[in-house]
Amino acid sequence: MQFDPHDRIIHILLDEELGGQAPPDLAQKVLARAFPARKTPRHMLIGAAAAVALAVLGWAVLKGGYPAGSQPAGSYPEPQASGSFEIAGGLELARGATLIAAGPAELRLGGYCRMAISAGSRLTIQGRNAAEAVFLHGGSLACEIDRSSGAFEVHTDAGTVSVTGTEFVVEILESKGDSKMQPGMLVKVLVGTVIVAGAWGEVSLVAGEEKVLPENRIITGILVEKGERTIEVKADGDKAARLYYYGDRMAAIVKKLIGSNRVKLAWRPDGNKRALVAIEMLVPEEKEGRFVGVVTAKGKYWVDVKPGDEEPSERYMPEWVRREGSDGALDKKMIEKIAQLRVGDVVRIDWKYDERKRVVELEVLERAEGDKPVEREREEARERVEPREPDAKAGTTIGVIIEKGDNAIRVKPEEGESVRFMPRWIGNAPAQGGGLDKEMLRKFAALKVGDKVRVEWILAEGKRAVAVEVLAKAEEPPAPDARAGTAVGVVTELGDLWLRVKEEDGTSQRYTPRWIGGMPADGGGLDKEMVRKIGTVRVGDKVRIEWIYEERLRVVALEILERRMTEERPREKR
Amino acid sequence: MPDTRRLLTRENLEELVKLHQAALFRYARYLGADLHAAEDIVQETFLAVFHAGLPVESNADPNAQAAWLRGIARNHFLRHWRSSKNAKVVADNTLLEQAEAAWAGDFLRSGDGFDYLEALRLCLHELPDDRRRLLVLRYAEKKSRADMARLAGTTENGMKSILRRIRAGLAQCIKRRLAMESTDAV
Repeated sequence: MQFDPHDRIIHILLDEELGGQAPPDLAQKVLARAFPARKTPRHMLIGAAAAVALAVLGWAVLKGGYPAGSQPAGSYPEPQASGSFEIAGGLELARGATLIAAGPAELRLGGYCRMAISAGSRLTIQGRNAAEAVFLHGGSLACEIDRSSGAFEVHTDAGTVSVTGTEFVVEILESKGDSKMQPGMLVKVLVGTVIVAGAWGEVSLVAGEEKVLPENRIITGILVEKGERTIEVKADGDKAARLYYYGDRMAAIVKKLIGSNRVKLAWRPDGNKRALVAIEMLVPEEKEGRFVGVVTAKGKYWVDVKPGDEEPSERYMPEWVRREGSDGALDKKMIEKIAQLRVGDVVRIDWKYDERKRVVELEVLERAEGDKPVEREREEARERVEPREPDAKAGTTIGVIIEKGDNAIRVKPEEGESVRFMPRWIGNAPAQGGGLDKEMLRKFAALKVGDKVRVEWILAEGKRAVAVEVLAKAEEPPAPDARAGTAVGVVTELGDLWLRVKEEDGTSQRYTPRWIGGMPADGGGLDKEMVRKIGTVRVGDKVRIEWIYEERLRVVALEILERRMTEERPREKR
Repeated sequence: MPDTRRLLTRENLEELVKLHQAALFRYARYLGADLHAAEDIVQETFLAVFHAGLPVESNADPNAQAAWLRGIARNHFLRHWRSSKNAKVVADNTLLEQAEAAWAGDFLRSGDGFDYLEALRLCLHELPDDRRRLLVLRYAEKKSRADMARLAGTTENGMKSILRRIRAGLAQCIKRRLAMESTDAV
């Protein structure tokens, strides 16, 4: 977003003047944090608690029931809250109010539901007498419900937890930028039984059980790329595509998918990866159409257009134009038109469906405002350096290897998105001796993450490398004097297959698991157990590492000494 | 020469907060922080001053003090921005310096921005009804640009341009008024 300071000043003042967003009085909050109240000595707390307990017990014995706070007999207890919290909109604590916990807080409902609310949580009080309920928007709750006093439910976007007498914890799992991702929650039962239900089904949990629910998350989005064991899908509302891994069971289904189409998929967390559980291609019912929308993203051969606020972006590619004596190529005129587009342009599109949505007519109705990066200019500059075939059936990419799999490499050019390359398929079906180009697989095996390479490629169900040249080797850390050792420090960076640890003396080294076995084709690969362990580490954790030096520093033992104090999810995908 | 410096007591801190909190909050919002983040940044700024045990001049020039606090707030904003995955405004030191220059030059003008705010109120009254209505829809009724575009029969980007033009008109009006006031003052 372009920052125009002069416009921003007026915008903020209008927000204040017309929108009532006047600066709040924060003096008491600052003072409370600067001069926290002294804690009551523990023995006094115990004494006070004992006194309260005795009073409650005495009251209960006399009245034969729960005292319901300080309410007079016969009236229903009002909600009570204590600790560090505020009510949104400055409302009173009552049903409908949203409570925001700045620090630990406690909420009591109906005299029989006690909730310990963690700092940063947000909930709305719902329910009715003897059927109390809250809607947990974010954060976590530990609930203690008195048996036989009434029902209680915790509603969340992921489902509802219903109980009648128990202790349990509910934590909303943050979606980390997946704006349209189905939310998840962690439910941990301490005492009794709970029933958790949502659009995904229903499950009963008993004391001692904890579960992330729903187990499978559902997203819809655009299938950006298919790989040997991975697919990349850009979920609706997300800016970037994410990687989903799949096994043999899904391979046949994925093979039938066609890139650039919309897909609906289910995935579940598997360590630090996203494991694909099910996927279907969403083929449009209509086979052609016209609409007006806004360009949300574009590449050289595609454009994403969002028809309206409530509708997701869809990807449109030019038509495939058949030519005599050749397989044909993408419509060059349309490629040129796409090149002229800017993100934010309002366009009218005529499309038809032919394996994927194809743009057949494109008209710019309104140019985007501001100085969006002129991608065309960049592309032309890039093409001056790397001339490419205009029909995109082949080309050259120069960049740095950022990821390396058994059968593929991912290369990040200086500008633009990273590209995944696989070797060509040679021969027929595997049963008849066909397979990936073995010579290229050998070349891939010799490459390292960080190498700068030039890749000559052709387009055949994805980009296939036909030649790879190393332009610059990755910078390797100097071999340490010792061949093995121990490091204790804080994790400063994490990848799927590596971690960087900074020791107290400032030494910062990157460690990868050992390679076990021979070539990937022979079943060799990184130490799976260590890869799994790395998946449990978070940035900020203090760890002890035992390492050996084999081409690079290899972690052979990993122990988490101290967890980083955070409620964030462990990591980002790298 | 008597030492006029003092470390912050509860009373000093309260005085400092009350004097500068509104300006700092507005400034954090201006840099791109949302309401909650702006509150955090203001609190963290004062707490940083307090915890650092920094001496505060009892007779300091409030404008100089405000500039100093804005510098601390900028650092907290940058930290907040770097840790936020969904930040809508791109921030770096150069951009923040430009932002500070515009804030000090356009809005504060060696004062506290009060005259600018007053000029804005007067300019709002001068706006034609149709334009004022659009601002009310956007800022008071919190309508999305898309909703407003539908009402006005234009596109979302068209509405974005219209709103930007209205704000630019207001900025011109404010500039004119402030210039007139300075001339009057002379």
